[in-house]
Amino acid sequence: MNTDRPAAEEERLKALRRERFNNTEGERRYQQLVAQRAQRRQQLMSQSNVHKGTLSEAAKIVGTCTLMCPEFEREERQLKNNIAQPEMFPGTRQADPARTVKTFHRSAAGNEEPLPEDLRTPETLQRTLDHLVNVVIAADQELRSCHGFVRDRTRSIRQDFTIQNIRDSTTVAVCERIARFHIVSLHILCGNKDFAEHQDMEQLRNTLKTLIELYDDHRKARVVCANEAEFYAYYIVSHLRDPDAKRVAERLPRHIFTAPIVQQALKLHMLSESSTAPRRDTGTGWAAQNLGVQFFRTVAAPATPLLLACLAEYYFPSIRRSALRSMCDAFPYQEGKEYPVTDFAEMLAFDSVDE
Amino acid sequence: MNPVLQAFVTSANHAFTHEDGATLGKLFVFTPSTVSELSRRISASDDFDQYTSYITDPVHAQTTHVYLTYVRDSQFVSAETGHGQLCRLAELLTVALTAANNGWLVQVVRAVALALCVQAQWAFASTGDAAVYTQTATRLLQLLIVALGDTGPEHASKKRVAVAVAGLLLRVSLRTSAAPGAYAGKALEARSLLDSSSVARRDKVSFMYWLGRYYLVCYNIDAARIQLDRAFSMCPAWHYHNKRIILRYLFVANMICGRLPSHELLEKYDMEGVYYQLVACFRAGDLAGFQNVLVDHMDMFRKQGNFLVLLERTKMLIYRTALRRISLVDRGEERANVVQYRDVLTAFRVSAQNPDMDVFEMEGILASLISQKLVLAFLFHHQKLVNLSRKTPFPVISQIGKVKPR
Repeated sequence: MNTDRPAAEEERLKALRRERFNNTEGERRYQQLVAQRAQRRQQLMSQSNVHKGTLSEAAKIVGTCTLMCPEFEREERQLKNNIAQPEMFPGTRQADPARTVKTFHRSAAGNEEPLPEDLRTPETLQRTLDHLVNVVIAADQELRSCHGFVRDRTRSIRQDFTIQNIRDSTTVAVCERIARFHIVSLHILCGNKDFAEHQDMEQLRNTLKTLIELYDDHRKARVVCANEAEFYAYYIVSHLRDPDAKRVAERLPRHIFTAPIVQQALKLHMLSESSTAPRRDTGTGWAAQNLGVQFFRTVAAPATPLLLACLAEYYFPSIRRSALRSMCDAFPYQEGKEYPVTDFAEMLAFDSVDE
Repeated sequence: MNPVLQAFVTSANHAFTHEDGATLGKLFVFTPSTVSELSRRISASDDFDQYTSYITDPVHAQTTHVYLTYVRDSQFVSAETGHGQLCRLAELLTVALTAANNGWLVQVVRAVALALCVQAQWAFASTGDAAVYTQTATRLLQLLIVALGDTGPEHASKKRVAVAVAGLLLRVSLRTSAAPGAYAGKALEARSLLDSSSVARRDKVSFMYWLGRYYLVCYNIDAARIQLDRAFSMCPAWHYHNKRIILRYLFVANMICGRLPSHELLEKYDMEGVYYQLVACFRAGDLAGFQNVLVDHMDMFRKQGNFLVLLERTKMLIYRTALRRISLVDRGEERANVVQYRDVLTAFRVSAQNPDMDVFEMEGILASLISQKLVLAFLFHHQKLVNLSRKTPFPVISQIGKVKPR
């Protein structure tokens, strides 16, 4: 025992330890749920086609959970002291069932299949996303403390849709909002030393890939998705300097290809191509435009929507490096007649000379 | 049994038993007239299923059964079902091909692979489901792996069909929703067989054509130009239609590499008027005109998959042309290799029909041209001039090496 602490502080820590380790009611409830789950799993295995050999015979799993977090997970996390601050009753370390949200679970070979009770219904998933946006993010609009939490919980939402193979308009709407969250995060947290932007970009690309597959399915079923052009534009810009994005764009239906936002995205894509950027296949940069000045002016143009510009911002350092390389080739050194840094800052859209 | 069917069964039985590839090649030719005639006659009989009892090898029996089912029912089933039958046939052929002495099956493989591709197109046109291309690509990949893995003597090797299958695989891979490279990796191994005398010329030409198109989709322009050029040269002159198709893509690859076709070449192959317009705008350094022509024919170029690559990779070359033209203008007593910023800016503004272009944008364009060695020059910001190289300020584009990545 640390005898240097004041007595009041010592009492407080003791109370916390008691609360944590002597939570016999919580422990009992958890064990009860574990036993129930084992029984339930046995029941389902004997009733259903869960382990049939062929895909066509396998039954689709349908979620039945109407809470934002299934009860078993909530109890388990409470026991393991794994409740995040936005999920607690204020001033306590107890999970609030109305605010606890299911976490993302990595798929692993040894994991058991989820039970229907572990998977949330589409309406619950939508309500969960509403809670994350309207309550959690609304309370921390700078995203400083809630970003990691929201990123994990939105990933879990997408996972629930994927496991249940739900590919309807609800999934499209939810994935669109999640994608917009990632884009806004990339902009707001840009430059923050605790923010790993490549992780957010990876999640954004995964979400956009899912959306593109959903749009293809809907188009085959002749269902119109109102925001399809917008998200194809985000897909194109999130894959700057990847020729495959242009291949995907070239195959789009005419009305989406000619949509102003898609054309603006393609313009940014073409302007960003550089023959000096590192790439896996040599020879693919031939006659690339590498027009940094036009790129930044296109980003700032009124025709470029805000989110598209936020997404393009991710590539600013790379575009500026390529532009600087070509300027180094083009402008020889002249003592006393160096290129004015104010002009340089203006050309490449720096906020200030200091930046 | 129907006498036509009896004759067909006897021939097929004999061909399978005695490994007569030539006969099998004739029996399994998927010309529409053969198929419809056979189908018409065989549909009158219900007993050809007993044909399988004549074949001792179960894989050959299954293969022939599936093929005959396809021939019999091809007029009566949907394109999708027909595609499914051919996929099954391709699977069985893959198994048959892995057997040690079945090099004679290559003719059948070629015919089935081609029919599979054509059927996939019909199935897609009917259902709009791109998954048919993915299924086709998977079957072709399996066939290719077996064909390339053969180590037998060249004259009897299964590798003889690898180039044909690889070409078809590249063709289908451009239609799948996956990146073409997902399937092309294996297809590229067939390049080593292009110099082999045992590979048919038509297969070589097809392969080079589809390889060129694949490289074009990957924006590997020079590699695309080389393959398409070889395909065009090797394609016999009397295959006018095929040469014209190759020329469409060769035009794009050559233009981006700075080579423009002559009027005579375009006339010879009766190319559409848009190609003449594009060449004229390129030669004039008219960027706005070039892009307008391209946009007016957007549907045609998009269908070919060439719209974006043309729009993107000709821009700098057209600016280069505009710069070259302004540099040739006699500016009085000024040094010939020095061009004032104001003259370049005017030329670029006219070329792009963009009166709002400013010095910074112009410098960005010039810096990009210089860094890619498309123009040999230096820029002097304070003096506001472009100092072109005295010797060859505008090197021949086709001679410019690839820019080394830093």
